[in-house]
Amino acid sequence: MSSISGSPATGAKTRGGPSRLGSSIAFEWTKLTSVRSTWWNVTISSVVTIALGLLLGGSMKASADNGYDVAMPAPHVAFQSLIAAQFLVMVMATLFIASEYTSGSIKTTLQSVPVRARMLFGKVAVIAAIGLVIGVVQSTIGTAAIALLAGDYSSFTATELSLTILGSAVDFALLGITALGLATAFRSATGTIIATVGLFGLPRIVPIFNIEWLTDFSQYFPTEAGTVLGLQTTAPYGWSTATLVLLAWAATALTAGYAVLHIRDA
Amino acid sequence: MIVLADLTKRYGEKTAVDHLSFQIQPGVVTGFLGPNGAGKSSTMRMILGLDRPTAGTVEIAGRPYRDIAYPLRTIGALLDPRTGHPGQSARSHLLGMARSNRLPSSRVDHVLGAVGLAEVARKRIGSFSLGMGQRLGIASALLGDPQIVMLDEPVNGLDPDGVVWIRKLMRSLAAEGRTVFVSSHLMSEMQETADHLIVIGRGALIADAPIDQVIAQSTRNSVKVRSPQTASLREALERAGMTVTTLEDSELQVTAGNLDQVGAIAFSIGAQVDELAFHRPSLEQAYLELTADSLEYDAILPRPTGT
Repeated sequence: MSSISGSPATGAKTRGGPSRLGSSIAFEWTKLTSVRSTWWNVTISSVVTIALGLLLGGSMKASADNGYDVAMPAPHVAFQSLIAAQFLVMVMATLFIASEYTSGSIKTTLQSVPVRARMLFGKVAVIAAIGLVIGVVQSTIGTAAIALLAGDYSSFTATELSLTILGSAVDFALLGITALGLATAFRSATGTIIATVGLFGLPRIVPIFNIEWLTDFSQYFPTEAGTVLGLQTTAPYGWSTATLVLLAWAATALTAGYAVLHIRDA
Repeated sequence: MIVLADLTKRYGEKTAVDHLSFQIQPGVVTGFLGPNGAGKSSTMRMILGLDRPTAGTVEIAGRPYRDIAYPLRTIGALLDPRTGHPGQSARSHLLGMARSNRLPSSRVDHVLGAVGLAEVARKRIGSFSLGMGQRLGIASALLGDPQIVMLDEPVNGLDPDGVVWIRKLMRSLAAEGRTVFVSSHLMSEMQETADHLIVIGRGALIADAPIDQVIAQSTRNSVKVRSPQTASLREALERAGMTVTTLEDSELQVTAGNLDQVGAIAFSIGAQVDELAFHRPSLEQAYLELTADSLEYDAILPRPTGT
C-alpha cells in the first residue's frame, strides 16, 4: 500500500516553475475556470449585452428616422448598457470567495496556501484579469451590436472606441476587486450582493432626497466613477480622479477583507 | 512530528482547548480520542493554522503551519468530507491543489487511482456520496506525498471494504515512517489501528500513552477465579488488599491483583482452583472509564415525578 508515493511529488521543483505567488494564482485560476457557474455568468452577460445593444441600436435608428436627435457614439451607448455585465462581474467576484465559505472549501484553500495575504492576492489577480477581459469583450460586442442597427447615427472615432474599451476594462477589474474584498469581509454572498446593489442603486436614489452633501458624496460611488471612464465625460470629475475613486473603493474593500481574514478563524 | 505546546483556545468564556501539550511521533499511528465537544476538531484546526490559538504554539516538522512554503508536501489532512466546491470535478479540485503547491499533475492521477476514484475523476464533487467524498478527502491528504498525515474521522461514511482499506493505509503509512494522527469515535476501529493514544476531555489532556498501557491501566483489568471454596478464598484475597466481587456461586472477579498473586494466595490457603483467567478490558471500556468525568454533555436525567 506504499503506492501513495508512486509518482514523485516534488518533480515540479526541477522545472523551475512559478513562484509561490504564481502558484497561488494558478490555484485560483483553476478553481474559477473549472466551475460551470463562471461560464454561465460570462455567457449570460454577453447575451444580455448583445440583446441590449441590438435593442438600443434599433431604437436609436427608429427615433432618428422620426426626426429625434439621438446621435451618440456607439461605444458610449454600449457602456451605458453594460450595467448588467458590471453587476455580473461583481456577482462572480463575490461567489469566488463566498462560495468557498458556503461549501467549506475555504479550508482546502487555506491548507494549500496558508498565508492569508498570498491567498487573497491570488484571487485578486485572477478577478482583475477576468474583469479586464470581460470589460474589453463586453464593450466591444456592445458597440458592434449598436453600430449594426443604428449605423450612422452612432458613428464614433477610433479614440472614442479605444478609450471606452480601456475604461470598461479598468472599471470591470476594479469593481470585481471591490466585490471580492467586500465578500471576503462579509463571508456571505447574500450580504455582499445586497451591498453591491446598494453601491449601484444609491447614486440614483440619493438625489431624490435633495440633500446636498449626500448628493455630492454619491458622485464618488464606483458606478459614477466608472461612467466617467466609460463615457470620457469631464463632469463631475475627469478620468484621473475617476480611476483614483475606483482604486480607493477597491483598496478599502480589500483592506476590510484582509482584516477579517487575518483576525477571524477560517 | 507535530508538537503542541501549551495550546489553548477560548471562544469567549468557553475554553475549547486547555493548555494541551503533546507530541505526535513518526512511525506509529496515533489515535486522538475524546467525547464530542472535547476539543479534537479545534485542536486539528489549530494544527493546520485555520484557527488561531488563544495561547500556545503548534509546530509541524519544526515550523508553524503558516510558515511552510508548500504545506501539502509536508502535512496532508482530511478534516471534513466536504473538501471542494460542489461544482468542480474531483480531478480539477485536486489539480488546483497540486498547482498551489507546485506538484506535478501526475500526482493527481496517482492519488485518484490510489483511493479508487479514477473512474469518477471528472464527475462533479456535488454528486458524490459521503463515502466518495471521504475518499476524495483522503486523496487530497495524500496528494503532496507528505511525511505527516492527519485524518479526522476517516472511516465516516465508508463501507466495510473502505474501512479495511483505510486501516491498511494508515498502518502502511506508519510503517513507512510517516506520522499518522487520526481521530475517531469508533473504539473498536482504534483498537485495531492505533499504536499510541491521546485522549482529551473538556479540552485538557487525559492520557498520552501507548494503547496497551491505556488498556493495562484500566481498573477493569481483572482476574477471574473459579473455586468451590469461594468464601475462604474471598476473605484471603481481601486481606491481601484486593477488591473482590462475587460473580456466581463459584466464581470471583478480582481487581488490583495479578494472576500470580491470586494463584499464590489460593495455594497458600489450600483452596482448589478450577479456573484462573485474566480478563483484559476492551479499549472502549478503558476509554469510557478515562473520560467518565469529562463528558461534555452528560445525560440529563428526568426529574423523579413525585406523586
